[in-house]
Parts: sequence; structure tokens; C-alpha cells
Amino acid sequence: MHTLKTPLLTIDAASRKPIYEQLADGLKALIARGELREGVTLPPVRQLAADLGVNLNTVAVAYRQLQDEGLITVRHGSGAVVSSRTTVEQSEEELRKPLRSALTQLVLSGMSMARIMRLVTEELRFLTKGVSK
Amino acid sequence: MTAILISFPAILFVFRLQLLRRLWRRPLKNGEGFFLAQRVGPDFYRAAGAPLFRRYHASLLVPLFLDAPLAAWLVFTERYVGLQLEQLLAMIATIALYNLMMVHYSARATAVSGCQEDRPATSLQLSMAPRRMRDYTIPSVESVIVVASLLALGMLIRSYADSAAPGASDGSEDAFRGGVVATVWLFYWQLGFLLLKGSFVHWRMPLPANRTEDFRRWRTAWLNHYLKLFDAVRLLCSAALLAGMTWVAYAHSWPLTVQVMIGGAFVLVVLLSVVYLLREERRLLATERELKPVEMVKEFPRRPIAEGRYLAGGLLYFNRDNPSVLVRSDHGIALNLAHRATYAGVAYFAGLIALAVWQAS
Repeated sequence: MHTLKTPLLTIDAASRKPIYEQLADGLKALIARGELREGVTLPPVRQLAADLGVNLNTVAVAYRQLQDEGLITVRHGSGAVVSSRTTVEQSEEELRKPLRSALTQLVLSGMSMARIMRLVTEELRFLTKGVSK
Repeated sequence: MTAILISFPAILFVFRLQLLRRLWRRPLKNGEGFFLAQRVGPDFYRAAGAPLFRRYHASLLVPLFLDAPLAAWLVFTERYVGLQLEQLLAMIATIALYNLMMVHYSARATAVSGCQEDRPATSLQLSMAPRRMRDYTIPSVESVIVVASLLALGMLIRSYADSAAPGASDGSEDAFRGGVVATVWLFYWQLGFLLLKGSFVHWRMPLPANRTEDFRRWRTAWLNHYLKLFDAVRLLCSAALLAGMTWVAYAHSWPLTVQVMIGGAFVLVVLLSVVYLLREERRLLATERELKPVEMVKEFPRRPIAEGRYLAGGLLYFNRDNPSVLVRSDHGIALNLAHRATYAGVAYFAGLIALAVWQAS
């Protein structure tokens, strides 16, 4: 049932990022921020796909990605459940890659180092807000 | 007797006419800037929208004319039970058809008017709360329905025992038969409203990126209103079942005053339910006046035209991977034949026809 505390995920149809990727990233962010806690049941694939007006496969791909990363468990009959706040173990080098790619984008956009640092700190604060340490 | 037999189909027919009257001007409900809930251009009703408005009116008349020859034949041949069933099925089909038409013509109005927002919305929000029937189930309501149904079945069994006993009158056998027919119909209505409740709970609910909380408040009020309506009708069916079966099992041994009192009590329950539902409707209208949901339509991105196989000139669609019952097509909207809600709806309507044939025979 919907309450004011129900976590929401924003999807932009005009974004160049595919919808399944936006879904997977959005869900990861909600898990990282602790808005979706361990044991919480996620909406069924059918519900999200109907809300978005996309095929079932689009949502299923996002859920599969999260399952592969160990963030959710998909149980037959009871749906997808948040299982952990940490992805399956990856080497530091592997984890660095997406960070480096995002930072490269920011540098290429002409932002100053100080502005990039502020941006990264803000995002990190936003992500860890509400997460019990 | 004929007057009594004909009064029920007459009430149903008047209800259909009343519905037609309400829907006739519905496209203009929000002013000339809208066709139903779709924003349209300033001269829409005088230019591009005029043929659409005429077609809309013609479509409203179709369900009335479709069954008119059959209804007339049933009246002239004095098949009044058949007329009752025919009007009942026609009313259900009309309501379903009108609902589909509203969605279809909304989509057509957008396509015809070509009215685009200056900065069309591209984002929407998804709620991460699963929509489950159990979250909208009131245990006390379900308990009352179960207990009333079991008691009614107990009474029906008792009336069967009375009718099968040696020396039982023809009247008790007729009463038992009437009880069986009423029980089957009332259970079937209850099932129908339970299915409707399920489809309303699971209906798609994207949220706009702007005015999210306003929309969520309105949608919650709207959903709660209809769920209360469906539960109230299911409770009324249970009350009717219990009252009817009590009547079948015991009425022959009651004095007239008791019969009148019980009948009066049931009518009072119906009237109280109507008052309750009217009050709830007023509350919903107040929320609508406050939040103006029609102005939130523009906050939603337009759904893309669904890919897949179209049938019947684009009115029907077939795609198992698409989880929507109604999808956007080139011509407005199309009904997804591969959706389980479509299967359930078709099966339910086929069951209604089978029941009507069974009763008539």
C-alpha cells in the first residue's frame, strides 16, 4: 500500500540511458541510501512494466542484473526481495572503472576540480544519508 | 404480475438511458479546452474535433440500438424472464463498452488535436510498493461475507430437506429452486465485484515527476472510494443472500407482520448503503475539486505506441509480453487480448450468458 514514505524511483523516457539501466541504477541508489532495506519486497516485474508501459523483459533484465550483483534475491512465487546492501565482491580496480569514467565526463565538461569535488561529496552525502552505519 | 416482471428490465433500461445522458456531454465536463481528460486546442470542437465529437455521440447510441430488436421481440412474445436477463447482460456490456470508449476517445482526441504541451513531460516516478490485494482486504468485511454465506447455505440445505420430506408441498420445492437460482446469481455477482476490486488494485499507477504527492493523494482517494463501493456491494449481496435464504427456509411459518418487518429491514439496509455511498462520492468530488486531477494529465509523458500484432483495425492487440490491458495504438487504444484480465473479463461475461441461459431454460 502506498504511504508518504514509499520510496519512489524516477525514470526519464527522454534520457539516452536505456530504461532497464535507469531502473537498475535507481534501485541500487535506493538500496544504497537505505530507502529499500534488507528483506523488503520489490514490486513484481509485471507491475513496474505496466506502470512504465514497457515490455516485461525490460524490467526483468534490470532485476536480473541486480540479482547477479547480489543485491536482490528473486524467489519463485514471492517475488524479488532486497537481500544485501553490498554487491558481490569486486576488485578495487573493477570498482574504480565506472568512477573513472564518470569523473572523465565531468572533467571533459570543463568543470573545475573544486566543483567536481563538491559534486562528488554532495552525491556521496546524499547516498549515505539515512544509512545506519 | 406482468407489471412486476417488466419493472426490473424497465429500471435497467432507464439506468442505461441515464448513463447515456450523463456521458453525452462528458467530453466538455472540464471546459472547451478539454475533450474528456485530454487537453485540446481552442477551436477543437468547431474544427478537427467536430467529426470526433459526432462519432463519439454515435458510438454512445450503438449499445442501445444493438439489443433493441431482441428486447422488442422478447416484449412482444411476452418472454419476460428472458427480457430481464437480456437487459441485465445488455447493461453490463454497455458499462464495459462505455468505459473502453472513454479511454479510446481520449486517445483519439490527443491524436486528432495534435495539441502538444510546450515542454512535454518526459519523466515519471515509480512507486516501489507492491500493489497486493491483501493490503486492501478488510478482515472484518471478509469475515461477515464468509459467515453470511455459510449461514445462507445452511438455510438452503434446510429448505432442501423440507422440500424433499414426504408430504412436502409443491410450494416448498419451488421455494428451494428459487433459492438455488438466487444463491448462484448472488455468488456470481460477488465474484464479479471481487474481480473488479482486484483489477482496480492492480491497475497501472505511474506517478508524475511534478505534483507527485497531489496525484498520489487523489489516486489514493479515488481507489479507496471504488474499493469501498465494491466491498459495500459484496456485503449487500451477502445480506441479500442471507435474507433471501432465511425467507426461503422460514417464511412459511412466519406471520405476515414478521415478513413485512424483515423485508423492511432489508430495504433499510439498502437505503443506508446508498446514503453511505453517496456521501463517499461527495467526498471524492471534493478531493477532485481541490486537486484538479485533470490538470495533472499533462505531467505524464505520452506512452509510446505499443509494438505487436494488431487486429480488428487496430482496436485489438495481441502481445503476451506487454503487461498492459489497454495499450496505445495508432487509432487510440487497443485491448490486449493476451492479458489475463481480458481472459478473466471474457470468461466472466461468458459465465453470465451461460447462467442466463440456464435460468431461462
